Amino acid sequence: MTADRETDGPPDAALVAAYRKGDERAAAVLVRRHLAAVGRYLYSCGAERSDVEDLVQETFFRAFRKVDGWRGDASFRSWLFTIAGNLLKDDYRKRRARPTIPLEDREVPDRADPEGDLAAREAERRVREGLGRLPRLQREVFLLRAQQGLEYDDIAAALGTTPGAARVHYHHAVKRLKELVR
Amino acid sequence: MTSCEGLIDRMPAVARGAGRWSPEEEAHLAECADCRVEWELVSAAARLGTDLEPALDAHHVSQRVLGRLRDARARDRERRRGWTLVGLAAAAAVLLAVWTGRPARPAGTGSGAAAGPAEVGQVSIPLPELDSLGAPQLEAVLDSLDATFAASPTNTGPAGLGDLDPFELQQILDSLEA
Repeated sequence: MTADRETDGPPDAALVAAYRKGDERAAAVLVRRHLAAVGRYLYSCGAERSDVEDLVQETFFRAFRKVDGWRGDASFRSWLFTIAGNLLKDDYRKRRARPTIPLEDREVPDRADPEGDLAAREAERRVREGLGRLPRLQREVFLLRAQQGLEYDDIAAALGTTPGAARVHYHHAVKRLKELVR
Repeated sequence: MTSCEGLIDRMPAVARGAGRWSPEEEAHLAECADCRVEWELVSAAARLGTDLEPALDAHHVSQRVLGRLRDARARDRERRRGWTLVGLAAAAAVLLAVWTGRPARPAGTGSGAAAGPAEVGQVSIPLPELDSLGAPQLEAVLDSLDATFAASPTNTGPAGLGDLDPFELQQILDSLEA
């Protein structure tokens, strides 16, 4: 996975403060730090591959336009996910349900094995299709937890719910995905 | 003994490469089909979109975003300037309406310094002695005043009356009343 957290360089809060004072380089660092995570999140939420870059741009544009709205209650990345999710919200309403493809039972894939790699890609495709069938909140909670590794507190802050409710949504999402992907 | 719940809580971290399964956990995964299916879901979700990362050019995206932000700020400034002009125009219109629609100042209430020539000309001085005169008699008064001014050596207009003493003035008034 990508090492795209605040592992090096100033923390997000300091960069946001610098950007608020007019330092555009701080904004560029924030983009570089969170670009991949936001792109993967948008794609996993159902965005077309060809649209991802434009949607990422729009997400960052909206974030910096309303940067005063980020008060640091949740992480900056969580806040970006909130914006990205809202960006896609209208698309979900228009999106038609996609047919699911039944999955057979299989072992955990070995990435060094070409056949295992192929199976892993197939599993990703099916998971993505399954995600497209989930209610929006379940999908977002599942991705923020499973893909982005956020804790339930952060997920709750990003999605405007409680940590307990986020945990329940996660378990519902897993249960439904198991049915859809099998 | 590894529980399903403990294993499930650790799945995102292991799937993202932030941790590794212990031998006990691996043994649990091998035995528990339910956990194994969930692990497949979580690990597949963690890999979703990783192939997109090389295609996302951070420099390009940040330049585009910053360019759009500059444009947006310029538009905001223009919009604010436009609203300022609209506000000033509205204020000017209100001031104009107030100025042109104000009531006329009552005669004699203006200060001498502020009063203009037109206002001076409009001041009426009550002269009850003239009220009973007809038009021809008033005309005669004006003619006599003109003749007096013309005969005055200084010829300074109405100030010429200042040369008459009270007795002469009374005579003029008496002749007019007669």
